[in-house]
Amino acid sequence: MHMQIGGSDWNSILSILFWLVFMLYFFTDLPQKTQFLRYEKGVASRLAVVESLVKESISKVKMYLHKLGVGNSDNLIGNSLENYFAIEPVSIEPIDIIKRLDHIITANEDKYKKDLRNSIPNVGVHMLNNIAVSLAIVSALYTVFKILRHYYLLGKKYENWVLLMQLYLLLPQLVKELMPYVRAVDTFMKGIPIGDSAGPLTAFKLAGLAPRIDIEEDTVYSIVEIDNRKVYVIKAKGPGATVGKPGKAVAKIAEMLDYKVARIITIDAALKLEGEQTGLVAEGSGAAIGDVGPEKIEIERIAVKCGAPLDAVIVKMGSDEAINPMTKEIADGVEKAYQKVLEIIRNRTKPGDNVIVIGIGNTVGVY
Amino acid sequence: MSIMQTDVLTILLVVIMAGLLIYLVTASFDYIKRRRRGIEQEKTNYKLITIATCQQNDYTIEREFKEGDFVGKIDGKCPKCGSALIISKIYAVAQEKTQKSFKP
Repeated sequence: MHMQIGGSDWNSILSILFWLVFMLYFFTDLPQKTQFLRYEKGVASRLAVVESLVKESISKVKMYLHKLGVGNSDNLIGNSLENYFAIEPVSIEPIDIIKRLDHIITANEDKYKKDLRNSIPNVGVHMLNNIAVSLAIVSALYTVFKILRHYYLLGKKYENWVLLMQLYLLLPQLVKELMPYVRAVDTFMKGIPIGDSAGPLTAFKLAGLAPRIDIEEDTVYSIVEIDNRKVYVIKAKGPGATVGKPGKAVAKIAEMLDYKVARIITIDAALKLEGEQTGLVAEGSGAAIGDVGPEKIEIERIAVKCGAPLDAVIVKMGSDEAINPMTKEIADGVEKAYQKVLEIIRNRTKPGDNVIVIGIGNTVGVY
Repeated sequence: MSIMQTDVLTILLVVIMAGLLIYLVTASFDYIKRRRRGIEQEKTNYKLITIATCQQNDYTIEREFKEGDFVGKIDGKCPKCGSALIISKIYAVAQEKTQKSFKP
């Protein structure tokens, strides 16, 4: 009898507990609140990792600037982090949009370089370019951190758990993608060729130590003869970190040659899809260049004006490999790209033709 | 008959519970293993190699990268023919894996 009463008590407690949980789960916001707390803590901890990446990259740049004897490094870095944004031109009226975009980008770059030159007057042009790119990396990392922090605080402020959930799911991938950027600061400061240098390195293999003639800002060309074809090899001016202005250089050379150009070949690093092999070389048509527009459109317009086929040779790599020291697979890919360019010149042009070859990408560590 | 049914149900519940527990333990082990592997991959150390080749292509030297090296730099003279040795390649080779200081 006593046992039976005990059993029924337990049954009542369990059934009350069950109903309580049922009511709490289905008729209150408790599950969402619990999830909100979980997401909020998860986002906060990952945001702390992103912040540590920003701080690590800033301290690396500071260390290098200190080594170069730059005294006002704090001011210099602070200035680069917050300033030098570019506002996109009006797109509702597309006439001249490329010219306006180019004007804005060029003016912003000039201002940045002038300010940097004034702050660090005793450094050579190549080292200055390396510092500029390193500061741009730090600035990019800081911008990403600021945006993530903005959405985190917004989600917390308005208790928007959907916003926090999206951040919670997105942040692990973002943290992994941001980590190579910190390592890239060292790479640029030391002037080591990166994956993106595949294009300029192929151009170097074609031009060798032939004289580099200045044609545009931070852009040079060399003339070499390959099987009786006159090849104009364009690349950014190395070995400092710069991408130059290859589009404008192509326009000037084509004008110089009275638009008698048989073929235009572009070589660039391209992002591979997951599962694809690093260093794979592929060939296609069009301008292989990843700029926002002004340089690419210039190459396309010149190709049309000359009636010259536009060949694209790409070396495939991951986004982290593109900004970190060039791996052996990519270096082998450059050799294959070089052979491919030679094959195009020999098989698709005639002796006496003018050919323009452009090595697109950052020329850090490549003459 | 009812006692038999209860026994079968209990055994079934115990089996399901045991299965869930085993799944939970193995899944968490897998997760920890994957996470550790991911973190180690992030911190892969690289050795930088500089390759200098003679202009006449009769000699190649491989050495560790020094700050100031760049592709196209004249890096001394060829011991065989006396022509200029030019740095032709600089690349990274994965060396060893170490653990990261923090866990994302």
